[in-house]
Amino acid sequence: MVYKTAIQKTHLIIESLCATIFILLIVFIISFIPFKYEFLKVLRQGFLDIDIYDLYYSGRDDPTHRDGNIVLVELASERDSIGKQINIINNQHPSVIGIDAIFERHKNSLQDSILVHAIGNAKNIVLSTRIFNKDSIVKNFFDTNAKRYTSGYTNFFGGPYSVIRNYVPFTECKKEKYYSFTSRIAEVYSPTKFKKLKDRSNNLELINYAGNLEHYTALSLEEMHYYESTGQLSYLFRNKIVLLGFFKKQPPLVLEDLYFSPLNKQPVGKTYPDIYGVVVHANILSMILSQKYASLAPEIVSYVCSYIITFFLLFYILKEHSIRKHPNHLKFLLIQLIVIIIVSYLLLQIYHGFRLKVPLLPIIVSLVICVELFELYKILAVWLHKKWNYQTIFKSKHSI
Amino acid sequence: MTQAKKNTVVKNIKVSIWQLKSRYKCYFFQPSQYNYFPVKFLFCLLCFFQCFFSYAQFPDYYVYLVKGAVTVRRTGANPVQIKQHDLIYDDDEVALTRGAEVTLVDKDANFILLKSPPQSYKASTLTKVSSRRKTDDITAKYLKLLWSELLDPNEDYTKFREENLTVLAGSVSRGNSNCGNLIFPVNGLKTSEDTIHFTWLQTSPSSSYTLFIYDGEGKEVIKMHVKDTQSLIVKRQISEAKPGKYYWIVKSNDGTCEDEIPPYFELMTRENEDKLVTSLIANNGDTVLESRLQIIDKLEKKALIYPILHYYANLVNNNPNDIALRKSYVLFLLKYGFNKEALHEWQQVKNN
Repeated sequence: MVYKTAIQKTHLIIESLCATIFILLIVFIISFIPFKYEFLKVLRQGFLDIDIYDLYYSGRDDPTHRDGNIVLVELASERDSIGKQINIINNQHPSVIGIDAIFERHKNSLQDSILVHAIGNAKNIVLSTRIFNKDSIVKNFFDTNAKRYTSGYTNFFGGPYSVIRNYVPFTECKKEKYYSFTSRIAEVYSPTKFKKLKDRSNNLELINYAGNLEHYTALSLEEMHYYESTGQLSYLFRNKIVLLGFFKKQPPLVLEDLYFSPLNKQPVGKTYPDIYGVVVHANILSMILSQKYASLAPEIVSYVCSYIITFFLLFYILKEHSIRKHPNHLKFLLIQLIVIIIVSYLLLQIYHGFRLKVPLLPIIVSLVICVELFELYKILAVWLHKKWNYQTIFKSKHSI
Repeated sequence: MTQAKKNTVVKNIKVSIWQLKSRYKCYFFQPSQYNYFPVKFLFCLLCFFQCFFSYAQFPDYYVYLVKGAVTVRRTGANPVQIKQHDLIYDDDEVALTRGAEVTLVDKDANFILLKSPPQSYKASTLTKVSSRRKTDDITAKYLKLLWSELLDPNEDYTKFREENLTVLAGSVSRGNSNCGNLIFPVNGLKTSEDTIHFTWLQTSPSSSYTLFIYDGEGKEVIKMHVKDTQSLIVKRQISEAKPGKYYWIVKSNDGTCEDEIPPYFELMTRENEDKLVTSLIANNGDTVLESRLQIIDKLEKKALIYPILHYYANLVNNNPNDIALRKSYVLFLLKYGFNKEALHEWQQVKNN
């Protein structure tokens, strides 16, 4: 009797393993569905753009903690004013000046000359470029073969409505290696930390956000001039990274160069963009300089996790089926929901503790579909039993 | 060496080490700055000796940035303008003028931004602000998300729920800075009364308010929690009844529309008030009721409300059968928040 039970249990385990493989195979096939189609937009925006790990950052606004290495300065609107700003900042001896703006074409000779002169005089200035259409780079009009400037691309990774969760530190364009804006600044500011970033050799780096605008000493245009007139700028800028970019300190937020970030107070559903581009760059720099990187586990880890979890769930379902002919389906759905909640929570805690992001999608999809696809597996198992004598608990239920 | 002297030396060493730590953090909390070890070491040494021999007190904050006119007042000393790099101590009081702001750094390198209003801050209360670190309570966030996404029935906007009707305003608000909830003292009130009656409209469901009174320099002279919409303040409580301009405002934690611009009132001596009142009514010896009411108008324009109250009361007593006059007196009392007096007077009207 005991021997029979042991054999039954072994069969159950083997069948659970096979059923799990079947479910994961379907999950894997689902992963190839191109979600670019318009009719799948609802699914993509409503489900796939949600990341449970955003909860870790959501609503993070502690103004008492600031990054002391980076100062943000609001960019003036005219080129001559920007030139004057650069001169003022340069006089305070910052470590690096980063300009998060592109001056694509000639505009006005006088204004342009003031700007170019200021940029030429500035020490350790990093300019912006933009990767355009995968194979072309948009540069500043004065960045020619005759005179080269240190620059990096400012592109973020994602679509127009994406949440900026990661960025590309290095890329290749026309067989030439390009550095991102922040990688370039890090290279100038701290070569050792830049080397560590390079040694990670990641095509895509997760951004470990430290905070929004309140996390940095940010000066509006008026404030910069006021602090200059009162002699307070020197202490603010000396040996720091000064990022010149577009932002508004006072609400409301202005839509120019404004993006969605995981710091958004509303982690799910429709919301307003919440972070200026220059603040995203500042966050990337904070991450590089503090070396508090977040890591993305390989996809295979996620599949292994989903295999283990789905196996246990299917083992339970199969066991219930071996005991009763028609087990309660509602109970399975309830257990499925509880497992999803617990697994998401555990993975969130892992990210909280170790900044390790395990891709959640394969796990959740396999857990969501396993109960429904189980019916499909039953049909397949019976068919396989008839055809090749596949050992299944449903062999005695040919009528299903 | 006596025990007392030993204790003093030990205390001084402790103070010096503490101050050294705080200064060290203030100046050097940026890891990239001043990395040259001999400079750091020399600075520390200098700091230590300076602190030790000056019997220094614990500094609590370091001034990082100052915008506008900000003063600090030490106990028993006159206010001094704050500059960048100044140190703030626990007993100090930081006062800001309108539009001013100051960024302080505490010994744990926490940044604290002070803005006006309110116009003054006690440094000792700032420690509570700086130590209030927001914890990343991931479990609470997760449960909140689960609740709002899975269970909260109010999130279903297809069915009628009263609470959902109040979420979206559907219009803009204009002129919210002045809601007219501060009734008395009216802006510009001049008085020499010993007790001043403060009245405001109910804005908070919990009826829990804090009444602030600031002097002309923006220093807080009274901060009082009131569980009502009125309060009687004895003049002596207000900056020892020194004549001059004072501002008042009422705030609550759960109030909906509250005035943000504080109205002012002027405390004056009895002689000055009498002089002012006399100058306004001097040339009017007419006893006709109409002329008297014109005097009331004149006094009201000058915000001399308390003299009007006495004047009006006399007028009503002298004309006991004039119901219209009594009614206008009731309206006047209601306008300035003297509800009890208005009720009493209204009962008199009804009795007549």
